[in-house]
Amino acid sequence: MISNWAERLLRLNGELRDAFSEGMLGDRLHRRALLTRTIGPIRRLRRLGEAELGRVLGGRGLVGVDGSVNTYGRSHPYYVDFFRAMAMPGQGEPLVLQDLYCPMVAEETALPPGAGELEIRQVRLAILEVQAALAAVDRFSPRLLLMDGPLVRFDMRAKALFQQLREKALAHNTLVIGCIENIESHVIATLLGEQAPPGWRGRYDRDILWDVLDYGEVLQVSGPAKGRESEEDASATIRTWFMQSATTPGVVGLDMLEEQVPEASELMNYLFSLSPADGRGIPIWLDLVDRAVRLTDVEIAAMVELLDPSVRRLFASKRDARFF
Amino acid sequence: MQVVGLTNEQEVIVVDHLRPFRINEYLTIDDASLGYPQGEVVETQSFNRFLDFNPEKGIIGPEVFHALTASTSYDIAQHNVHIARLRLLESTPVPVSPGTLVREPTFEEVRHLLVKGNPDTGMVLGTIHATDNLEAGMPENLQNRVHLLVDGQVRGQNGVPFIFEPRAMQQYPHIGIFGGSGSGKSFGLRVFLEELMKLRIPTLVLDPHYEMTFSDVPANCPQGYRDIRFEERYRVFQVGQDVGVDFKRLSTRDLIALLNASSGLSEGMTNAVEALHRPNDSYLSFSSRVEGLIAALEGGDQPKEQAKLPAEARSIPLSSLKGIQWRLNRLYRAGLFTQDIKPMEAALRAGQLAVVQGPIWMLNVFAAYVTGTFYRQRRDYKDAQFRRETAPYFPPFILATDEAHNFAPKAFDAPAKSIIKEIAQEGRKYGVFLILATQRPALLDETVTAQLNTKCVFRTVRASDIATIKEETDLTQEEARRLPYLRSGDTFISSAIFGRTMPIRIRMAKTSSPHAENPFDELHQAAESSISGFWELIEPVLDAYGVVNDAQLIDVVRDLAREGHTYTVDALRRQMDELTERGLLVKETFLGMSQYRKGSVANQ
Repeated sequence: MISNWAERLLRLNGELRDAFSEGMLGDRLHRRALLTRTIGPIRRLRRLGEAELGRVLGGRGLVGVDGSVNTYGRSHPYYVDFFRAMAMPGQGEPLVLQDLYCPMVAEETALPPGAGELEIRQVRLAILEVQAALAAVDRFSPRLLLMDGPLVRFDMRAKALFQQLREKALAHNTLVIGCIENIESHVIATLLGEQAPPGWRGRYDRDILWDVLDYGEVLQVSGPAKGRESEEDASATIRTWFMQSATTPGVVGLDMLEEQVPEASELMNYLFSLSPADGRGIPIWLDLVDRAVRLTDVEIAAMVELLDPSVRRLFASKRDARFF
Repeated sequence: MQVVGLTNEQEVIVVDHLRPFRINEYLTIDDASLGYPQGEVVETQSFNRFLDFNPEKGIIGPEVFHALTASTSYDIAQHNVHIARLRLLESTPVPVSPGTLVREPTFEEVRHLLVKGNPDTGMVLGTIHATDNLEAGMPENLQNRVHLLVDGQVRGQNGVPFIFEPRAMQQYPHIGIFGGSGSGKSFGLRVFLEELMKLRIPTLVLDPHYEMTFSDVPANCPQGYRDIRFEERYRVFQVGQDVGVDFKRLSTRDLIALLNASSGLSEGMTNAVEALHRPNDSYLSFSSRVEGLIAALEGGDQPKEQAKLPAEARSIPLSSLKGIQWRLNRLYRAGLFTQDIKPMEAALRAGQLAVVQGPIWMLNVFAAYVTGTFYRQRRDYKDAQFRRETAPYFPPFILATDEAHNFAPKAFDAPAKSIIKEIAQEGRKYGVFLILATQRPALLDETVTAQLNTKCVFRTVRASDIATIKEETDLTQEEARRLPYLRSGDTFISSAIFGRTMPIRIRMAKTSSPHAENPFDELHQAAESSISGFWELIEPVLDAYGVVNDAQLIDVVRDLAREGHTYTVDALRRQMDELTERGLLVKETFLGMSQYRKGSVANQ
């Protein structure tokens, strides 16, 4: 059986190696040259000094927004989703929004009919996160609002609210940045279209950019961030830049509103300063918010205690009684 | 602060977000139904979930948090969680309820645990660790009792004073002071002795290091801290010079012990002493008896001399006699038999500290004699009292010594060992107590160690000593682990009086050792004073000569000789070169000959 696997695994290895080889993608220098010529400039970033750090936010502060979902119960529809979104300012108490969803007591949701379980969950979470972001702009009026994930995704999943957020952010002069650690976009290949080398077609940005930028460099993509999960026009007004902010090769994406590109450019050094060289490459503040927003199993267990045993029974699963 | 996690009747975990805990600090569990139990922090930790360390994930560089803090005033420390393991001093009937609040106790709540004596009638030895937050509620008579010396700096009292009541020794006798060199052990012993002088408790001190004098004032002693004129409360005696053994009062056993200490006795010699020594022998009568016998045996056939001897003496071999004579002479030459111990007895009767100094072999012999004598007098007095008879009064007293393992060693014999053992086992009945300091508790006789009801443990590094300490005290595993890292002057006092181990910072001494000067500083100073002496000598000569060249050195030697200073030309040149190095002279070469003149430094 092992030998059967081994054979197939070796074949897979060969195919993938060839598909992602320098021969297909182009060598490093070649890729850099092509990117700067067709996509946008590659800029070198630096860590800000004490004085610059003191004035970079213009005294207005920083807010990070992240959400979490915990599910109690295992099988559809016997589960409850606990949603929580948090907007955490550098100073002061975080703003927290919560929601609860159980498919057995379906509520009105603005979802495409036939949407799957997973989609419902993601849409609800996105809505809650954008709501938290909106409230945070009102309450804290920060200079910088960091969101966890591509802005395009919020645009798609919570269209009306995201539109409100865009307007409010522009009015408050709050810079909105979405940070993406797992880039699943084809922005570069899409922008190049017919011009793209054959090896780049259909490839994710992260593969084209693997080991292309030096630590501390950012690729400022000049065109709109199309080529996301969908081709909706939402992405037309969003830009994505790619930053090599960790020492391991592999970029992170930074989404921004088209109108805010010049300001974002100014804050790039700051975002770089906030990113640990050893980590996943996104600003540390989002790590902290992520940690703060997450509910622990103990907290969920404590909340579930509020349910009657006869109700709680619905969510129990034989799986939980497994020995191993 | 609140209790979290799994609890039991003896121990709980306490967490707080605001302040770190301190080891040995006292905390009160705020539960009226349990009677507000007190506990002592035995282990501390702090944790920040954002600064977790996972070697596989790498760490977040400080510059990143700095960027955050500098731009937003965010403080990562707000996520610190401080954790303490709190050991309850008395077990509770049921486990402490998790979630119970915990607070700092007031002084009154812990007074009975910390203060077991009166600062005026007890020995104020230092302060109890991590009690500074209790100072606020402390009565005035406990405040400002001591100063502390921390890293060479004098500090005021910082916490609750530790008071050892000597009266408590009636029930829990004898004190041991253990610690390696540099641990603060000798200095701790000094503080004990200062307190004994304060209380005018008669004390006999064996001082093999010649350091237990109390006239020197420490360099940085704060104004008014030295509140006693120690000069009047102690006397120093040199064995063989100020005090000695009254030969007439020696028993045969004592004499054998003395000779044995001088140098080991063979069985033959021991038998010989037993045969020759008579009660009330003086040194003269005994030594001439030995001498006469030697003369008789060496002279061959001198029946007259031999006839005078008792029958059992006739068979003593010459070599044994010679051995005895040699040992006797050694003690005599050391002056041991020319004095007696009356001045020491007088000092004890006056409530003074009687310090005996001498080389360790002689001190051992003498200690056996003097301690035995005093102990017997005290015992006779008390025994007579028990029997409702009368006997001359002798005061209760304390025997204190450093390097106690020399006087009562484990596994082999020493002259003073049996008397120290006797006091260890029976002394309490008669009001005679021991304070034994040693850096090698593992080498101290076990019977003696077992009787030390109070033990001060300073920094100890040797595993065998730590093992002994662990066996002989109630030090916990954690405390034993801290032993090799204690700061100088920090000590654990494990006492039956307190019922548990107390962490103490020994107070600053009010007197200082005469050896405070570093011998290497002394060398340097001696060199300095010799060279400056030479400069004073040579300066007028140079002034007269103007310039001294090589050929003239011989004239200078002659000039100096006339004034009574002897130098060779070589020695003179060496000293002149030394002065040249310091810039006082300038050495030049003129016409191929070197010459000296006064340098610019000298002319200033």
